[in-house]
Amino acid sequence: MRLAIRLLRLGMGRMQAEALAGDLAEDLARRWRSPLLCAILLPVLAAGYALLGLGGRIARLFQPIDVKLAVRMLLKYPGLTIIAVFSMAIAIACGAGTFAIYSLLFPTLPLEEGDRIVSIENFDTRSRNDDRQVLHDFVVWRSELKTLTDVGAFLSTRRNLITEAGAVEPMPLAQMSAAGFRVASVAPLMGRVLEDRDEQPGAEPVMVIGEAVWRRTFASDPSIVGRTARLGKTVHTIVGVMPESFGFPVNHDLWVPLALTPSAYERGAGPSLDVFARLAPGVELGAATSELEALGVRLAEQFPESNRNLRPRLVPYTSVFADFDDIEDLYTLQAGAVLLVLVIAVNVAILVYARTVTRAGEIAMRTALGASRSRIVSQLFIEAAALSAVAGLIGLAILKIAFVEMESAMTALVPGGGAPFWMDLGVSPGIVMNTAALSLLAAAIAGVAPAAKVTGRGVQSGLQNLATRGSGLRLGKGWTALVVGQVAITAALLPAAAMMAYSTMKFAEADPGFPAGHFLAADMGLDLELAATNSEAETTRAMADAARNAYAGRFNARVAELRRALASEPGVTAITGLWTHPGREPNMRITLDGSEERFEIRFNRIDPAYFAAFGASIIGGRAFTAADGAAGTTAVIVNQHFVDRYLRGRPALGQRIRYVPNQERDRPAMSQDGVRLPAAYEIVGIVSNMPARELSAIAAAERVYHPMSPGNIDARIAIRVTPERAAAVSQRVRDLAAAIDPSFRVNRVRPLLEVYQGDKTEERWAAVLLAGITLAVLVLAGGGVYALMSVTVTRRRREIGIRAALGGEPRRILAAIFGRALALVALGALMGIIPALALLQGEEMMSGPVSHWEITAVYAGVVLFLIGIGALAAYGPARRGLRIQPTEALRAE
Amino acid sequence: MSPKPPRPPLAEFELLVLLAVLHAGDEAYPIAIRDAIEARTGRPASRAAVFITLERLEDKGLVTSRYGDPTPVRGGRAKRFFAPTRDGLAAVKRSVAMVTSMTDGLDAILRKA
Repeated sequence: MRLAIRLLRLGMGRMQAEALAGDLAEDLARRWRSPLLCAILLPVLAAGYALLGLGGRIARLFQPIDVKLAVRMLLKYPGLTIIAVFSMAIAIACGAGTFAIYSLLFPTLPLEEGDRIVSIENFDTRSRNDDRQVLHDFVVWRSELKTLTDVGAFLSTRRNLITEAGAVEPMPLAQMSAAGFRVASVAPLMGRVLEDRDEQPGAEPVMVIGEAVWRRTFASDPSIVGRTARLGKTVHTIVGVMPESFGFPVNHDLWVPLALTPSAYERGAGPSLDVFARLAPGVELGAATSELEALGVRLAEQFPESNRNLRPRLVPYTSVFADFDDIEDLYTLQAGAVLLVLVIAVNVAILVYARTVTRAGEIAMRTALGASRSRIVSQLFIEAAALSAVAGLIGLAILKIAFVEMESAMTALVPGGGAPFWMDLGVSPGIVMNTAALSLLAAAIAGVAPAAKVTGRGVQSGLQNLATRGSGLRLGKGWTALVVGQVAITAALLPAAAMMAYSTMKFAEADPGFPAGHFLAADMGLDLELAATNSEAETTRAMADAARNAYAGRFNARVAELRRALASEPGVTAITGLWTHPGREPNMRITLDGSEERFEIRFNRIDPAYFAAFGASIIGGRAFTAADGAAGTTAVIVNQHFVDRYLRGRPALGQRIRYVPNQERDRPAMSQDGVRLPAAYEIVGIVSNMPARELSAIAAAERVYHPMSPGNIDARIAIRVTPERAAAVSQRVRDLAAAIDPSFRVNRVRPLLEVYQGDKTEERWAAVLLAGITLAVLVLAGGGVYALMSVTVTRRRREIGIRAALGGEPRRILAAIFGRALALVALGALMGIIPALALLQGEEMMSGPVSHWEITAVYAGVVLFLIGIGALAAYGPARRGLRIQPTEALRAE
Repeated sequence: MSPKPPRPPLAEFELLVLLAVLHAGDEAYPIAIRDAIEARTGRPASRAAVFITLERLEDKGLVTSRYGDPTPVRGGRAKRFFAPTRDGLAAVKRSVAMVTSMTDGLDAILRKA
């Protein structure tokens, strides 16, 4: 009984709880004979009634009229509403966004018992990366691990899908163990999934297609199962169709068996595999990890050459694909976002407090008439909740827009791909809950803190001051410090944000100075005739020289053939081969002969038609010739910027350059085609600057061009075409390639302008985000100064009146008060200088050189701007102060 | 001062509870009230529904409550007795009158049903 009463007391008064406990005990005794059962049931029932009582109490605190009043307050103070809603919306969107990232990157897979599906990775303790050439280890894992079932692997590759009717479509596909279908446990729409027997040597080539491919490429043919289609040169029988929702392992729509031939590779060699498995029934993650680690130790002892540094480990399935190496990064990001919400909510609290102070008389009167403190606090809370609810809704809208953008960016980035199947880029109930929780948190801070302060001890003095129409409430040191802090943060952020906005605007147009809209960019690939293959570039890197050269020869012969065929297409005016597009060349470092100084340059590999196609001209020395394409050539061409800035009057032709070796970031570019590079190169020509306008402020404008060599397997082509023929030529490129050789693919062909615009997406988003946050802080800083001044004028109303009555010039009195506002702004601006300079330094690294003069100018502009905002914010209260009539202010004296 | 807005009519269960309070007289504590409803209407009434309705009626000023003396049968716990207020009686009267006026002239039809 005592426990029951205690529980009931949580939701109601003592007497009420005792009487209800008595009722419950009596009722139970009438229904159940067993005293024991009654004793057990009584506290359970009491807990339920306590909740009912608590709910009733809370509900009684809030009355429908509060919502009406709150909406009226939103409209009555539009300035506060706009400032608070705008800043809270941004903070809430950031906060909910980081939670959304978490659920996007580390979701529970939308598959049966999705949380029991894991990835196995072989972590290399020396390189701190996971080693994916795990073919031999995979075979051991698959046969020996008892705590994991359906251990399988996949790799993604691309093939031309050629239908019986001859339609060609380059498609990404998964070569996947049959275990993948068992792990995912999704029934096919038609036919069957892949089975173990399909992986056996000599098995008939089969494939499973996705519903989207079935509809798009095979026109929803009801008798598709049993029909054939080619993937490159090989004819496959279609054995099944998977439903549209099925994208395992990532975002695939086409699956073929993963036939592995470990005997063809040494340990540590072979294709790069992603390995997945499902925890065996009843097995916990810990047990599986122990078994895997023990196996890893055994393999390391058995094969020290290849496995000494490898530590196999189990990770959540999706984490292999997430960019976040460490989940703690994400927690930090989340903590930061919540902090942003807190900071902004505290700022809004200042503004709400300033508004509440002007209502001190009303609050004091209501208290005197018997309104409880909790009743008034709850009303003020509802007012803040109305603000944060609107902010939450806008925050959700911002997120929704961000998701739509993200989805289109993802589709653009991954040709034929799109988001992985577990990513639900929608506003899920979880995100709505997060937004609601953040809004509630913001409302609690912005509403309850000022309300508690206003209804605290000050209420009495509020009542006393009612007659004199002044207010005894004031903004304490804490609030003042916050306003100074806001100004400091604004002063710190604004210069960098302004610089970033400047450089983004400058480079956002993606105008390289040549008609990028007239070019098509095409990426090509040639199927490797190996059982299991990754991308050609990845595989050829691991191939023996002779095999690679033979492959490169075949590839380049087909590229040449394609170019010849394209040249006679109507509308095509030029075709050139290139390693990367102008304006997208990677940065590298070189030294000049006879000097240790290092210079930043941008590197590209081109064919002799390149300069003419893009409208650049040789202004010194010679152009590349066919002879320069031979392996081991040392001829390079540099641009005018290179000559002007690095050679400074020295003769360019004949000058030798060397690449600075052993730079981690240079390796991918240097070894891209696997050709052994000579130690030094000789400048044989100078070309005019192209692109005329840089697309990014980050990279150098000095360029070094190398000739394409026959060993290149990653050449692209750029096709200059009249705009009206662009769409037709895009399709022709694909058809011509497949006609030359079914295993020769055009992975992607798109307008060059689209390539450039895609590059800008990330930059644009970063700029929008930074601009949003900066604007929110700026608006809050202005609002804070306004609130401070407004409260000061209200509080010192009588003082102003008395001083005016004693002959004081109101303007001078006000100058003394507003001098404080300016002092606060100046103090904040001073405090912001050092972080601002540090940020500008970082900004400089990101977006190119900025002179000290520019930094000073930007900072001075920002400080002036802040003072202007401060003055603007102080203007309203100043006018109110000047209007104070001494007689009116002193009437009660 | 503007005239007091008319009170909304009682909900069906509120009316039943108020009538049960009247029937139970001096013994109108929640369990007796529920028993009265069940005995007279034949419909089961949950403890929680009666509890919530009584709380709501008290909030609306239609019933008042007082605590009786502790009784030994209930572990020494006092009962909470409810009684209608003047407003409560008026509300009952109004609700019953509404039902009566609506059923006037329907005797023949209702007898057949």
